[in-house]
Parts: sequence; structure tokens; C-alpha cells
Amino acid sequence: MADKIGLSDAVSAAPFPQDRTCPYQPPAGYAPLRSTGGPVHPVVLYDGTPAWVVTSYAAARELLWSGRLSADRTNDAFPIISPRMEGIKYQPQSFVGMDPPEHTRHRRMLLPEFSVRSVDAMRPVIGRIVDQYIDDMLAAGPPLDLVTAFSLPVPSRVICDVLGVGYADHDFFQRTSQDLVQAESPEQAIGAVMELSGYFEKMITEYLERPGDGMISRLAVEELAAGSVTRPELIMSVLMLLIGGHETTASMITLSVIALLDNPDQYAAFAAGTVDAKLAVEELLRYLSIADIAGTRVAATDIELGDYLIREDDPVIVVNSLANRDPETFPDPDALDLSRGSRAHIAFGFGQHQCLGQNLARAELEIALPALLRRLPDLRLAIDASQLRLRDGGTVQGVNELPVTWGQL
Amino acid sequence: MGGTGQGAEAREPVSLLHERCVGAGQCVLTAPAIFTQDDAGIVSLVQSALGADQLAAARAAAGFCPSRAIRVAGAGPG
Repeated sequence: MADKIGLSDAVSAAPFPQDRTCPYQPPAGYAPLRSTGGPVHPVVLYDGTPAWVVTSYAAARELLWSGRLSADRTNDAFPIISPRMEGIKYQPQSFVGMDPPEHTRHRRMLLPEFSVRSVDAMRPVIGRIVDQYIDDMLAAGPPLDLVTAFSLPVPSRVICDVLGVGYADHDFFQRTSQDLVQAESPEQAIGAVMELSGYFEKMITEYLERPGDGMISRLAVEELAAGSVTRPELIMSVLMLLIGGHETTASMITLSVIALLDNPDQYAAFAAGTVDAKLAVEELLRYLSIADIAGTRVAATDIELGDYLIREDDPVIVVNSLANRDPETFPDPDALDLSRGSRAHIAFGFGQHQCLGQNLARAELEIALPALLRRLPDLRLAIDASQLRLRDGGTVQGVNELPVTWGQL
Repeated sequence: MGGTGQGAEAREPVSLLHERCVGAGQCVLTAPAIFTQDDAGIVSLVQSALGADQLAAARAAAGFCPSRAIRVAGAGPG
């Protein structure tokens, strides 16, 4: 093992994460990480911590399911990717930051509402929500901001339905979710967690007294009352579902529109229905890789990979825009090809932690995107693309505002 | 349904490691004629006797499974 390259031997380490300059393309500085042949490359985090980035699709998948990486966020060696996450480490963890068997126990309580069958049963509801927001946009007329008029409220309304949260509070959820995901300071992130926790605390108490519809009521009545989960644990699970259900799907809708506008033939095929919506959505998930930092982990053991030695407690980061654009797996990876057949992507991660809400996200995108393209003819940006303000590299990739117009050119 | 017990299931062409299942539903998306999710969201078999064409679909589903909870006779990782 002495001849293997370890993290301390790294002669050059790129900064990570980096910001995108095009909303749907990986940062230019990520391509060189692949050039050394991989399957891993050393990087340096904002606080100077060295870490490994996984550059190949095959290694990313293998590592994520192998059980050799830990997601335990209470581990001192667990890397902090951006300053906003500094305080989160000391908050109660959700299942996302746990290893088996705790992770398995918590995740299993949350499965029923997200099974393929449960989500399929929701499709008519999602269709009505999508139509309603498009009706509202048509009534208001262009130009308008697609993020606040459509991308954000559609998934927000859907996850509120699933959870059994009154949509009257959706402004509160949208603001606090955004505060958490895009916090500019650790204090702002913790503040958002506290606000949301207080809200769910109250809701759980109410549901225990008067059971109602939706997932929070079920979890309170079946799991909390039976003692299989504590109240703080339940609150963190619900909080994770709310955040996960909001920002990610919203970004997918928004960035899909931007990428499709730059690929008019693909746009036309999607709008005309000549490419299957399911296929198209999988390719957009691969191509956009909006949750670019797919897996933040710590090595649970020494791992030899090619010329490299990942030592126990080394931070390991799986980067979606690298794995999902690995030319070994996806030929001509930088081309958007809606009929490619790209479901093998790891846009939802891989292994035990693969996205719990992935089938809900698929259903939302399969319904929302074709409807949007079909009903808003000649949809286009109302500003120059160069004016779009992109989020930083350490969070869900996207834009907070997308002024669009449609109709007669 | 394929819930014929551990011993019997192990001899079937497709066997499930239920304790590994994380309910991602990838198998159902890949091969809905073979795999389903029970009310708790955990994988179960629609049928365990498979034709040759279905064996290929079962293998594909095993490949998509993020937690490697599906084993197919003659193929598939452990």
C-alpha cells in the first residue's frame, strides 16, 4: 500500500465546490478532475480540509452502495462543504445523516407515501395542480417569473398535500426552505431549522389530539405514539421531506426550461410529444445534475482504488455532474439527448440513501414539463441569459428568478 | 405472490434480500410485471416463476436496485 497515492501526497488539489457559469453545465474547473484518469481526485474544501472527489460513474455507484462510506454527520471527520453547514452539524440529524441500522429504521417509516404505487395514485392530483398554475400564468399574461409562478409552487403544493400541511402556510415553507438551502451564514441556517421545528412541533401535537389526513398525522399517530420514533427525530424527518420536496424539483423545472431553450430541436420534440416524457425526464435529471453534491461521506475503512488509497476518515464526495457525464457510461455526455435512455444516472444518488422522493419527483416532472411546453407557446427568456444569477456551487443548483415571456414573437 | 418463505425463495430464479430494501422503487419502474412494493413500500414479487425473457428484465431491475436487494440466479452482484 506504500506506493498508493493518499490525500496527504496530493501535489495539486482543486478547490471544491466551484460555481457554475452556465446554469446547466458543470463548472469548467471540474473537467480537469477527470483528466488524471481517476477514479478519484483530491480537492480542498473552503475551510482548507482536503477531500476526495469521485470522478467516475462506476466508482461512484460502487462506493455509494458498498457500505464502505459513512453518512454519519456527527463524525468529527464529516466534511463541511459550505459555511452555511457549519452549525447544522450540531443540530439533531435526520435520516440523511445516519448510517444503518438507524438510517434504515427511520427511512422505513417514511416509505409508504413514496412507493411507485402511492405516487401513481397522486398523478391526477399533480395534473390538476400543474394545470391550475398554468391557467393562472395564462390569465396573468407575460412576462412573469417562472420560479415564483410555477417551478416553486407546484412541488410545494404537492409535498404539502403529501405531508398534510395546510397550503395556507406555503409562503412560510418556501421562505424557510430557501433560507435553509441557501443560507448566507450558519446562523441563518439554524434559524430556519428552529422556525420549521417549532411549526412541526405544534402540528404534531395537534395531530396527536385530532388525527387528520397526510403523512405527518400518520407518523404521529402510528410511530410517535408507539414510541418507535422520538419527537425531535420525527421533526427532523419531516423537515427533510419538506426541504427535499421543495427546492430540488423546483430547480429541475426551472433549469429544464433553460436547457431546452438552448436546444430547440429537443424542445420541439418534447413539446410535440414525439419523445416519451419518462425518457426525457431521465435525461434532464442526468444532464442537469442539480443536486450536484450527490453524496458527502466519510470513509468508514481504508479503500484502495486504482493508484489511490482512501484512508479511514478521509472525506469522500460524489459529484453528480462528473458521474452523470462520465463518457464511459454516457457517450457524448455533454449533449442533451432526450431519447438517450439515461435512467442509470445517479441524479438521485445511489445506495441506501438514494432519494426517497425520487418517484414523486419523476411524476411531477413528467406532468409539469410537457404541460408547460405545450400550453405556453414560444416560451422564451424575458431577459438575456447572461443576466441570470446562479446559485453558488455548494447548494442545489439553479436560479432564484427566471423571467419568461411567451406568445407572439 | 412470491412470499413463499426464505428457503423456498432461495431456490427461485429471483430472490429478495428484504432487509436491504430501501424502498426506492427502482425495480418496480424497471420490471413491474415481476416486482411490486407492499403497503410498507418494501419490495415483493408479483410472480416468482419467470420466463426466459423475464429473467433479463429481472437482471436489469437488480442492476438498478440501489441497495442490491435483488438476486437473480446466474447473475447479479452479491
